[in-house]
Amino acid sequence: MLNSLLTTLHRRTPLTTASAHCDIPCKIYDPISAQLAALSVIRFVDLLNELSEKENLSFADHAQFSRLISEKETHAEKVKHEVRVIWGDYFKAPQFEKYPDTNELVHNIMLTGSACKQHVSRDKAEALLTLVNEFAESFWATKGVETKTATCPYPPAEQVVYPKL
Amino acid sequence: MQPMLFAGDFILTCKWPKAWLQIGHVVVVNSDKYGVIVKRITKVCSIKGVMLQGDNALESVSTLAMGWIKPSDIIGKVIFTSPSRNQKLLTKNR
Repeated sequence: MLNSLLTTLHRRTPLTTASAHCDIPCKIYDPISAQLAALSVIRFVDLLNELSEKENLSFADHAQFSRLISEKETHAEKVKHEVRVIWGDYFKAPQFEKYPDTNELVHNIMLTGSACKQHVSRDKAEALLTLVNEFAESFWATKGVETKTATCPYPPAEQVVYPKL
Repeated sequence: MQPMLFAGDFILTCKWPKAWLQIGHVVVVNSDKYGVIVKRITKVCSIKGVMLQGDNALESVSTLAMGWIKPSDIIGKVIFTSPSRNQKLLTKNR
């Protein structure tokens, strides 16, 4: 009865609406975007290293060099963004209780992602992929999904953690 | 905020003195990041404000992501709720 009256009132004079979920609860989270971005960072570092081996760089090489640096930084930032979204929106108390090292791992990903932006270093790019793989393993474990490690079938042909679906 | 609140429920809030806010109170806040939201207080600090959490931990955004909420962002404390048809139907079918 009261609810019907309030509903009628709300139709005529809309009341302020408060959300409880805070975000669109789409529940679509997958660390593969972060893993692909980390693989891209390695690939761009490899291509930059190939360019550095040339004695003379042509105009086209210089243009390619700029593009590779820009994309390397964009993808390192993408890794950080994708991981932050899963950490901030998906991980909640039950997941943190199960994987108490998650905060430290995510912080390491942020630092390594920044290091990949600052340097042209394959070691740092590989370290980023390793950390993101570790994050992916924890993520799938929270969902009770087993994982496997396989070499991705495209350059840079690195080891990637995939869910066994 | 299930099981306390369901989508479509009406709530009445009242301005509440900062000093009277306690852990467990359900409040409506105006968050810069998330807009107008309703959450339960989990921590109270006289300097930083309050920390919030949703009752439905699996669905709600995490306390860490929301961070400390300033007392000035609190619109009011929930003092009355009117269950919607959604709540009545869902609780009846359990």
